Amino acid sequence: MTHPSIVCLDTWFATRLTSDVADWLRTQITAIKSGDSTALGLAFSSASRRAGDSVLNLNEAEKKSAHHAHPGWNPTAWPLSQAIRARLILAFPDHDAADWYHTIERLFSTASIEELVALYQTVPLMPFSELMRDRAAEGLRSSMQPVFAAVALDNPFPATQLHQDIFNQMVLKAFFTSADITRIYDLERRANHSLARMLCDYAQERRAASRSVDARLWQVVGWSADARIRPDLEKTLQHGSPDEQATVRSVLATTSFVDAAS
Amino acid sequence: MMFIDPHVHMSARTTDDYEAMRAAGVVAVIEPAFWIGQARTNVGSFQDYLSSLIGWERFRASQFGIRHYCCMGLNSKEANNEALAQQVMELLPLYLAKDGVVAVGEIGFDDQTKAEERFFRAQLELAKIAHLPVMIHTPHRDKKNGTIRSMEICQEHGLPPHQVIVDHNNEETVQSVLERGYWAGFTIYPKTKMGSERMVEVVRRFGCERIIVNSSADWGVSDPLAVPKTANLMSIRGIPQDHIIATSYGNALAAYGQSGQFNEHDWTSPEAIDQRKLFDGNSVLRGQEPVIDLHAQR
Repeated sequence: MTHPSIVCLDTWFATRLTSDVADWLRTQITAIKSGDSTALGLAFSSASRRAGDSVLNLNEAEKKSAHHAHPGWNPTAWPLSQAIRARLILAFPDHDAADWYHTIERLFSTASIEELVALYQTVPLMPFSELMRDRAAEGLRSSMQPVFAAVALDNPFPATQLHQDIFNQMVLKAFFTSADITRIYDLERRANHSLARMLCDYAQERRAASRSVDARLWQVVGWSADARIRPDLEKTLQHGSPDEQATVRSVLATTSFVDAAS
Repeated sequence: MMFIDPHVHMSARTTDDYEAMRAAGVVAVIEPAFWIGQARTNVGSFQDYLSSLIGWERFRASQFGIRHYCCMGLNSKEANNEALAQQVMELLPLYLAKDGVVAVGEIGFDDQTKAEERFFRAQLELAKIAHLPVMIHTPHRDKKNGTIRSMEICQEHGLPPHQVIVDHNNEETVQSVLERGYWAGFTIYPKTKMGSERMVEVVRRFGCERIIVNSSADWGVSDPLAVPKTANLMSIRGIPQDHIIATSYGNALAAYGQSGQFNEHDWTSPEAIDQRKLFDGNSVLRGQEPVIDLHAQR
């Protein structure tokens, strides 16, 4: 049975690739399917030279099929080169976990920025999710903002696979680096007291330095629904910016706080 | 006026340099793979260095509104460790295919040993397969002889001269390089070797065809503002404007643009690029944006 994400990609390519590129891709996939990791490496690298600058730009039906193939998968803004890179990765045989992992790891360890973004955005589609957890955590440690964002934003993997401590550090770093936290998949479900505590401390640190606090931080804090953060919310009603106060009022109005240890 | 510094080792430079280069009008830099001051002892450090040229350093440059490109290669000095050099040769084909790689380089001779020649030749063949121009580092000692030898070897391997940039020229080498149809790179050093005043006279004498100015700024005493400063001096000394543009921008663009990876619209229309801005939602790569607070990244 063909992986549903492969079916999606191939369907989208049919209406988007020139025949030259489609032929090239077909040839590469054939070689890669036989386990040729050199072909995978070279095709993976040169994908952007083939694909040019266009973006997938999925229509509504295509977006639905993506989500159906893998919940949280939202490749509508993927460059075409990135979709091709994903397709190449997914072509590599996965009957031997060790061999598969070694080959994919090699792609990570020799990757350019664009390739790292493609790899991390494809992680949720890869087999052996449990093997990829450490690698995803490594991506979150990247100092290259697009690479961090490739793991943290528009990516279901952290919410579905990563341990709470790693997930929390990711959210904190997102606030730290002004990444768009509204694009963190399933943040509401994964919010927890420990994260809320870290974010409250961060807000306090910012306030002590007379720096602004992203009002959305309080929404995330509120999602933990833990009664222990109420005092921080109350304080924000007194001392926060108008945006922060508005967010906190909304949180207080809609949250049933729980008096329990997380 | 926009400048290109087509030979500069930005990994060895601080963010102060990026800021100064940006302020002076440098829009794009090319960083050739080189040694790092002391000999590498294992292929892993080569791999990580080559990865940094297409990864961290490229990103670091973007934070200052400068587009960063690189050349991939095994430098002449480290070609003398043959066992290690062979391992590096196995890495290179993969790295030559990466985005933003505009040439094989900087390769050539240092002491003009047999080992250096062996790996120089092997990389010329790689350049042909990869359809990339070649950046040649000419030796600082016995330069005239080494430069001619380098060009003869290129000719033996069938590389068309317009695909080869012979760098670190001086008054003794420039004529034979230009005569044979190669691009002639000039590195402007603050104290020794070729300086700005001498460069002005080279252009006055030889014109601007195929002449390219660069800084080769690295971990030693060097000036990352060499290109804009030399252009400025040329202007003061009455060199025609179009000669200045050619030697500090246009020729570099033409020479390395042959790779297909080095295009003016990368920095004049940054909206044409690309997935980065889609992921972080802000415009880190827009050349016109102010400096971003790097401390926030830690």
